[in-house]
Amino acid sequence: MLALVLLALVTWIGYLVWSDNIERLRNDALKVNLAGRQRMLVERVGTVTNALAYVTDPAERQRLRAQLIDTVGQLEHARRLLLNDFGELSAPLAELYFNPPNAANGWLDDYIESIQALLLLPDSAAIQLDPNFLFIQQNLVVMVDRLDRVATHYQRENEQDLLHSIHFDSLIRGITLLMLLATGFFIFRPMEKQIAKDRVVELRAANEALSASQQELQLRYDNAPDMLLSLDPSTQTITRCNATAATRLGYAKDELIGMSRADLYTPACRDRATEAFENFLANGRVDDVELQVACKDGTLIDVSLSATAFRDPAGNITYSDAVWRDITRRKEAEAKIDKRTRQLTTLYLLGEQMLLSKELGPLMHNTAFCVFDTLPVKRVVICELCADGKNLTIRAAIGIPQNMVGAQSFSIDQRSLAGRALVSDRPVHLSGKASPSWLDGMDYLRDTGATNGIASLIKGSEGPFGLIMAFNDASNVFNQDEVDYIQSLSNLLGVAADRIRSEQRLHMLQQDLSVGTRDSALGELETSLSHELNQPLAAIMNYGQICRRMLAAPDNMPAQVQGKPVDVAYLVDRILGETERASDIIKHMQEYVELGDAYETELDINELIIDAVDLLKMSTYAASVTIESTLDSQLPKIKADRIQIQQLLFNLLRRAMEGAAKSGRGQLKVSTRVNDKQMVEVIIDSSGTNCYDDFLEPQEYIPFSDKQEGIGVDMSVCRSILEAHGGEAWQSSSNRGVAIHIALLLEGKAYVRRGDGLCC
Amino acid sequence: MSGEGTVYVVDDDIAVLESITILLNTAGFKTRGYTSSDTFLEECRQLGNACLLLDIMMPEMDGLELQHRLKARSINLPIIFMTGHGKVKMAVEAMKAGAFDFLEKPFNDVVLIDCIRAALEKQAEALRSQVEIERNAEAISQLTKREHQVFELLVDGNSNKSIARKLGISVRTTEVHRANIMRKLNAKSLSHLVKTALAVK
Repeated sequence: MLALVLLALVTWIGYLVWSDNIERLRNDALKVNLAGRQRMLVERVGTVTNALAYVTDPAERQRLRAQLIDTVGQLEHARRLLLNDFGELSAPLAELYFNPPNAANGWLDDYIESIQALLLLPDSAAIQLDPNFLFIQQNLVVMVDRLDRVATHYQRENEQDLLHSIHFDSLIRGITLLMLLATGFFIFRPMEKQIAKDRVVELRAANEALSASQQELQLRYDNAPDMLLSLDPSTQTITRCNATAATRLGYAKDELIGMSRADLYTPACRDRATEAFENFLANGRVDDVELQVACKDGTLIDVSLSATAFRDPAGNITYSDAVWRDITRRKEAEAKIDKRTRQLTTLYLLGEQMLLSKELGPLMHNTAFCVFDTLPVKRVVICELCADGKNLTIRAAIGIPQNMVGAQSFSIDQRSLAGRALVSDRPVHLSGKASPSWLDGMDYLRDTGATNGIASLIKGSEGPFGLIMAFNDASNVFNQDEVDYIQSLSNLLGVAADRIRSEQRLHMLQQDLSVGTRDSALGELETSLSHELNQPLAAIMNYGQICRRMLAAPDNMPAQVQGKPVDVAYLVDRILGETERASDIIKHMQEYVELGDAYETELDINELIIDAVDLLKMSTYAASVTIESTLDSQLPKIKADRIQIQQLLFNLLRRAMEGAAKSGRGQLKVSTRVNDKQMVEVIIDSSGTNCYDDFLEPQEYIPFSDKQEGIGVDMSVCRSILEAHGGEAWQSSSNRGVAIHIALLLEGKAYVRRGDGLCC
Repeated sequence: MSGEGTVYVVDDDIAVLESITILLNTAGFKTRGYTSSDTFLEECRQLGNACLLLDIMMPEMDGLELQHRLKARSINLPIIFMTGHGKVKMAVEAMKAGAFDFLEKPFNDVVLIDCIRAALEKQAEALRSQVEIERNAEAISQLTKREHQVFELLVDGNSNKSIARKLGISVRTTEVHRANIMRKLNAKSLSHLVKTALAVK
């Protein structure tokens, strides 16, 4: 800064000096110029005055005079300029202009005055004699000479000044140069140095930052979650890789670099990898290609490959950056979901089967296949618990000889897999190591290499039903999901077993129903009949035996009745009386069957029909017949025998259903209404034909039918029931086939009971 | 002919009732007939040697019900059931409840009479043993306090020595007590004594 101030000061001084010098040079030039001009004007004055002296032409003279006046004016002006502008004149000049130098008027003034005086004269040629003219002519040379001297003086002075000025200028330049040098040296050089130093610092910082970011980049590259590899497309070898790739694949980085791309892929996906590579060469990138690579230790990793190409200016691929995303977990998860989906689908399909299946055997077999299909097991056994609760019968099996199915039963040991499972709510999982006797009772599994097994209880509503057992080798231990799955299967099977069993039972019950009701009705009848008949028979027999005794030993006769002796005639009377009584009982019996009893209860026919239809829906024909019912909700109740009417309706409906099923169309509609005769009418309209012939035209009543499978209560009995109730029946043709109409009285038939009935 | 036994017959069917009573009369039995369980129950206080011929199926109170009522009143009477219809279930029930036999109507007179004889014999035996037991009980109650103590220990199977030790008396005294007991209870041997004791208990 100080240097700068110094420099400025010097420059200023230099400028001042230099500008002063220039001023002087200019003044000198002006003075030379003035002096020269004055000399020229003086010479012109000499010429013009001379001409005036000789020229006679008045016009010419006038021009010359004007010229002279102008010249004098110019001369005057030059003198004034000189004196006014330059003030003091140097001594030599003063001497030239003023002689003596301190005279008030210089000789130039005198000269000018002379000219002016001459001009004041009238214009005539007679001026050569005028003193002023003479003065002018005489002093002309002096004046010129003097003015020459003045000019020369000025000229010289000017040259000196110029020289001086040049020296000074050189000096100034030198100084300036020096100053500049100094400035450069002392100011700019340090500044430059500082700047350079700063730049170095900056550069260094930038370098550090750069290297830090490079390190970070490398770190990020190395620790990226994905495997990163760069590939030379020409050799297809790895040129660079990150630490993740090396660690994940189990190689050292150095080993990995230089390896061929193809060597890393498993043979199974090598073709796909090559295809992806060709794709990459063509398009410059590939995205999310799912491949499998093998680690150094042989482990397989599922990867998703994405690669980007780097090109040189010519557009050739110089290298590729590939990303291998490890999707093993995802694949595993997908596989798990897949497995789960399969299990669920299986469960769903099996569940459907379980809902519909009519038999347990095939269902168990399918279940065994499902377990085998969806779980990593080698053997599946489904057993049913025998009635004794101690043995298991194999019902379905996979992975063991099929001749074991059904035939083989084995006893349960409390310590064995089966024994434990039977008393556990959760599936039991045992291995050979955990329990040496785990396969007890299942000797057929001993040599199959089963090392662990799972057993799940199939539980029915009536207690344990059986077991689902699955076995595999040590490499596959069952996980929680699989355990749950087996349990779901066994639960399903339990429900299905319950359903099928109860259906079968129901079916049997239903099959037996008609026979049963008939038998029980007849049984009832037989009991009372035999009791009632045996009473008189017993009495007859007793009386007969008394007679025999009396006849065998006539003397020994203590027999009396209420004090009166008894004789054979009395006894025979009694025998006859009792025989008549027995015969009466038989007559009453026939009447009973024909007439039925008094009907005190009010009966809802709709209710009976609904019950009967419900029962029929479980029959063999239910699947092939659609039952439709249109029941009149306003139907009045009737007075009739509930059991008999139930039998009547059930058997007719059953006939209609059988007929409908056999017809192949399977249509059945039952409706109720109150008809014109104010009777409750039931119309059973079905696609079956010829169902009711024996009902409408009954044959002989044969109570002990041989048809054990049950045509139900004989149609003639149905007919009797109808007639006993004062009902009517007729047939009509319908859209479906045939409709049978049953009309029943609201009040039933008038109460008719002959004699004392059967209860004596 | 067959001695003192009385046969009670209950049947709601008059003809059957009559014919049975006449038949049994001719066979020499004393009989009493009733047409309902109620009337029989009213009169059955002192029965002595008797048996009961009872119809199962009767209106109001049936045979089985009567059997239970008799049992409830501690009336021990051999009961022979009769039925017009031999239902197994009923027979089983009746036999379980202690019926003597079960006859199906109509029945042969020989079968009936044999059956009744057997029933009466059984009843007579039961009555005899009942009398004996009562007598023994009486005899036991007649024992002195010390004799009673000795009796209890004897029945429990103690030897004379141990009885003597337990009661703090000499063996000799025990033997005297024992002899007295045997005499008072009319027992011929120790086992007889024990049997008597058990019967009474």
